[in-house]
Amino acid sequence: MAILGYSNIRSVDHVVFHFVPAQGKTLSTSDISIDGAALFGPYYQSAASNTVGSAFEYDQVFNLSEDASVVGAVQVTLVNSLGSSQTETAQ
Amino acid sequence: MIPTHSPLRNAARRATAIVLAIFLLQAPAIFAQIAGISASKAGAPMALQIVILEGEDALNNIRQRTAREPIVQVQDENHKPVAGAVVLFTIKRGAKGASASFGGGATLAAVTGLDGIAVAKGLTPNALKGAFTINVQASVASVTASAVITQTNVISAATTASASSQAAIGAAHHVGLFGAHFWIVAGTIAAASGAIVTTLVVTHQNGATISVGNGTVKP
Repeated sequence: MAILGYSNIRSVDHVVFHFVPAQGKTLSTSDISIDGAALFGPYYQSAASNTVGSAFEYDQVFNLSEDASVVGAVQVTLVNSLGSSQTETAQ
Repeated sequence: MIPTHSPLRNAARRATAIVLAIFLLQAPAIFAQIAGISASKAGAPMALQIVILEGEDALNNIRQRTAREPIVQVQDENHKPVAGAVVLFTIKRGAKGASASFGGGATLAAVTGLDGIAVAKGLTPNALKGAFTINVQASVASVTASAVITQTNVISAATTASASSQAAIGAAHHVGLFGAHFWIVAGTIAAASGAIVTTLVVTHQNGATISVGNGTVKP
């Protein structure tokens, strides 16, 4: 997944993914929460991030046990100390 | 009057030094207790539990499109509030189709404040009567806990929604998303040396499994 976003305070504590199965399919994994501090901390401390303010592109790989067509949509929410972002959906 | 170099005065000095040393050794613990800081707050808790403060057995008014926002408190093994816990609220549609959403989404993430409280803001019922559930997962590092909140959508003028809690997390949109896309990557995915991340994975018995691969952040 490629996620484009920003964080005014230059920190993302958690990234929450919610997987919606395609019609007629089932997913045993519905939600994954990733520790964003480990990913975004080094990024926001890097000189490269200074050139784009608080914006970022976050690429996250997920491995599926079956064909990727079982996934109908993925919802993404970012969380930092100020709260959570709006939920964005990729289909 | 005791002479300056008398054995009695020296003994008193030694006793005072010993008492002072004991106090200084215990001072951090004393000050920590005064400040209300528990050991579990300083580090990761050994266990978590979720206490449902509001929203359980709530009746949501379909006509008014209002719902009782779930409010939970995450506590550690000593029943002390846990700050900074990630709480994931996931709506599960009821058997008759009754459900709700968080601004159109089925999932909402929140982080507990110093009081250990997280609020699932923006809950709106759909138009179908009946019961549905909200799964709640809380995590701190590798420690997790879960709970289930049951609510019912009804057509009634008597039900009212709760006012927004002052314990709500701070203003949204200080962190935002421009968009998200996913695609299938053909071939083998190279295992780059990414950061070590901790994850909370919610799984069910049937269906395809999803595991976390490499993640990178760039300008």
